[in-house]
Order: sequence, then C-alpha cells, then structure tokens
Amino acid sequence: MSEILRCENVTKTFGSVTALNNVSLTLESGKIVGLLGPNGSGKTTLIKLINGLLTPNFGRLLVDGDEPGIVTKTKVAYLPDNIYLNGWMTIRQIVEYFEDFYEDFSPACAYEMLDRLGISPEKRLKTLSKGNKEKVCLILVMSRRARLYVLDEPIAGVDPAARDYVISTIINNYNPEATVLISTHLISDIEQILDEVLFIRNGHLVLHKSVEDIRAEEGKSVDELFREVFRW
Amino acid sequence: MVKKLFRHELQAYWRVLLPVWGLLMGISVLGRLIQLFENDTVGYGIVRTSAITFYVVAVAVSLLFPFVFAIMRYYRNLFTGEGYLSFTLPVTPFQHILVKVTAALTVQLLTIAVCAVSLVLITFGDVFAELMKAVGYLIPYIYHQVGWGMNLPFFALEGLVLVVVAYVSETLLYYACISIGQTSKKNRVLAAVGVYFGYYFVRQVLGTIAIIIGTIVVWEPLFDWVRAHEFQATHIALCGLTVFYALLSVAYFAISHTIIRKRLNLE
Repeated sequence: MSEILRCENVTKTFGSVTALNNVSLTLESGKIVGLLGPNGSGKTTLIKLINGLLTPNFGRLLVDGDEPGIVTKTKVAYLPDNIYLNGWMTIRQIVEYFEDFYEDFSPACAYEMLDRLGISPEKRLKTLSKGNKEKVCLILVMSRRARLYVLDEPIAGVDPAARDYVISTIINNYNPEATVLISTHLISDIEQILDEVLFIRNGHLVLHKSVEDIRAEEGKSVDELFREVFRW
Repeated sequence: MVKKLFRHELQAYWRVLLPVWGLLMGISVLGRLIQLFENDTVGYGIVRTSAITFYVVAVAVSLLFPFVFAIMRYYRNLFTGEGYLSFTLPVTPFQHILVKVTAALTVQLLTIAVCAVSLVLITFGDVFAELMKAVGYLIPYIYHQVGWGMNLPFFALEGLVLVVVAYVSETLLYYACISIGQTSKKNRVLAAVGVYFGYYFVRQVLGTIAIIIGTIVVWEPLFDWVRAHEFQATHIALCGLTVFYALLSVAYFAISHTIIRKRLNLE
C-alpha cells in the first residue's frame, strides 16, 4: 500500500495558542481513518493544513508526496464542517461547477445519489433544509474519485437516521484505493467502519493505532478507549 | 482553469447585474415615452423632471453597483464559508485574484456600455440627433482650442489607459484592505475599513509632504518647464500617473497574494 499522507513534526500556532504541536504521522491508502478528539483538540487545524487552507509554522506535510497546493487539491476531496456552497446556485449549477474544476468528479454519480434522496437538481441550495444541504455537500464530495477524502465532522448535528445515510454514502461511494479521514467526536456511530484511529489532544497526537489492535490489545472498543483517554 | 474561473465569476455577476441593467433600460424607455406627450403644462414639467432625475440616479447607481459588488464578492467568495470551496479548487491564489480583478473590470466596462445604450434610448430621435451634432461640433473645437492637432486621439488613449489602470489599482486596494482585515481575529470587516482609512490618511499626509517639498525645491523651475513644453508635460503626466498606479496595483496585488498564501484565516 502506498503512503497518502505524511506529517513530519508539524506545528501550527495562532498567536500564543499552539493548535498542533510537533505532530508526526503517516497514513496509507485504502484505509478509513478516524481523527478523534474533543472540541478544540486540533482536528480541524490538521484538516485545514492537509487542504492547504493553513500553512504550518514548522514541519512538513505531504499529500501523496507533494506539499499542499494545486496538485494535491486535485487529489483531496474535502468536506468542511459548515455549508460552504453558494446558496443562490441551483444544485445543477453546483454539480457543473464541480465537474468543471475536478477531473475526478462524476456528475452521473452525483445525480444518482440526489435522485435517490428525491432532491431536484433544479432547486436552489438555499431552499433546502439544513440536513439536505449537508447531504448535498457530502454527495458532491463523495462523487469524486479522490485519493484522499477528508471529512470534517460529517455526522455532527444530524439526526440518527441522517447519520446512517451519511455513513452509508461514505462506505458505498468512496474510491476503495483511497483513504478516508473522518474527523468526529461521535465515535460509536462510525466505529464499525474505521480501520485506524488517530487520537488528538491539545494539539498532540496521543495515539495512532488500528481498530483491530485496540480491540485485541486493549480489549476495548474505540469508544471505550476514547472515554478512558479523554476522561476529565 | 483561469477561463473556467472567469466564466463562473461572470455568472455570479450576471445574477445581480442583469436585473440592474434591465431596470436602467426600462427607466430609459419610460423616459423616452414620457417625451412623446410633451406639452407646456406644469404637470408634464414635473413628470419630465422627475423622469430625468430618476434616470440620472439610476445611471449613477448602475455605475457604482459593479464596483461595490466586486468588493463584496471578493470578501464573500474568498474569506467567508465560500472560501472553503474557492481555496480547495485546483487554482492558485494568484489566479483567484487575477480573475476577480479582471471580472470586476470587465463588468464595469460593460456597465459603462449599457449606460451609453441607455442614453441613446432616452434621447432617441431628435434629441439624439442634436446631441450627436453637438459632439460633432465639440471635437473639432477642442482640436482647435487645445492646439494639439492630430495628437488628441493619442492623448485620449493615454487618458483611457490611465483610467483603466487607476480603476484596477483602486479595486486591488480594496482587495488588499479586505485581505489584511481578514487576518484579524474578530470584526474583520471593521478591521478592513480601518486599514483603508488608515492607509488613506497616510497617503494624504505623504502627498501633502511631497507637494510641500516640491514647492520649496523644484516647483518654480518645474512650472517654467511645463509652460515651455506643455505637450511633453501632458504626456509625462499621463504616462507617469499610469506607471504610478500600475506600481501601486502590483503592490496591492502582492499584499493580497501573500496574505492568502501565508495568512489565510477563514471563518
């Protein structure tokens, strides 16, 4: 398996606050990885660094061998934790927008998923409910044949039924040769799909292990281990 | 990628500008129709004056609107939630800024053309013929009065280039202020406004100091030279200002570009 993400002593500070402190890790292709940690632990900072939305103060970060930039942006499919699409655009226009900029984007796949949800492509995004807007965002991201999917809190703030939809959409649509990095603190909901987990606390990477090893070595579920590690 | 980005940028403009342009055309046609009922009554005078005033206001708003929208679009598309999409596209910050400023200029020029068409519409018929006659008289008059002969078109071209470069420079200045403002932890728009006024104040002070120094050191000899070489002085002034605004544009562009590359701070 090839390496898709490498962080070497990555540090990111915002003024006097250190959001990420000397983080080193490597992720291989073909895995679903949980980026787990409490609020403010540095998950989103790491995700933004991967996407080139921030630059590290120290250290080096490589996506498929390249520093974040134009090349890596063609390989990384990113779902932010907020609605980031233009509300005035129709869903068809947004699909065309993605098709224009991402060569790995499949409009047929997107329309099929939208059809299954009963969302008309002619609707303007702003007319949809919050839940449906989030689903549209996820559909667009998962309609790419990316090398690395980075999903920031995809199941936060949605009802349990919607969570199931999100999880099944991820499992059924991601490129099997790609890696999916999912940030969340709702571990029990996604534990069953994870291959590996990264525990992050106060900007430090405290654990990087396969779920199988956690179960075998610790005799605990990821959720149980998380509660133990992050107990107040 | 630049072409695609430019196309999508213009699409965003059409959404808001087409109704504005349509409204301006409608007001022009209405203004012309009112003239068909011309009479000497007070009532007609009020209606005609109101229509002309309304038209002038509509032209002013139409000309200002693309500039304001260009500034808003730069902020919203790059530094609010939309920035998460913009900056994860396989497009460089350089291309983003380039497309934003090019689209802003294109739309402003188109708006000027639309305003010109609206003028034709509202003056259609005898008034337009009179207007053209006046222009036909005015141009040779300027040729004669100014004494620049056949160089007038060249001066006009230099002036036009200066206006375009100054427009680009001003737009990029606003972009730079917004870019600096977004590095603030909170009240980013307020910070951008503060940066603009701070810079404006410094620019005014420096300009005043330059004029004072110029008056003391070289003003009189310079005036003498200008009086003796009016022709060349105008060329130098137009070209010099164009170069000055071009250099400012490069500086503003570089500020925005550096901030986006190194200090991006999305909401």
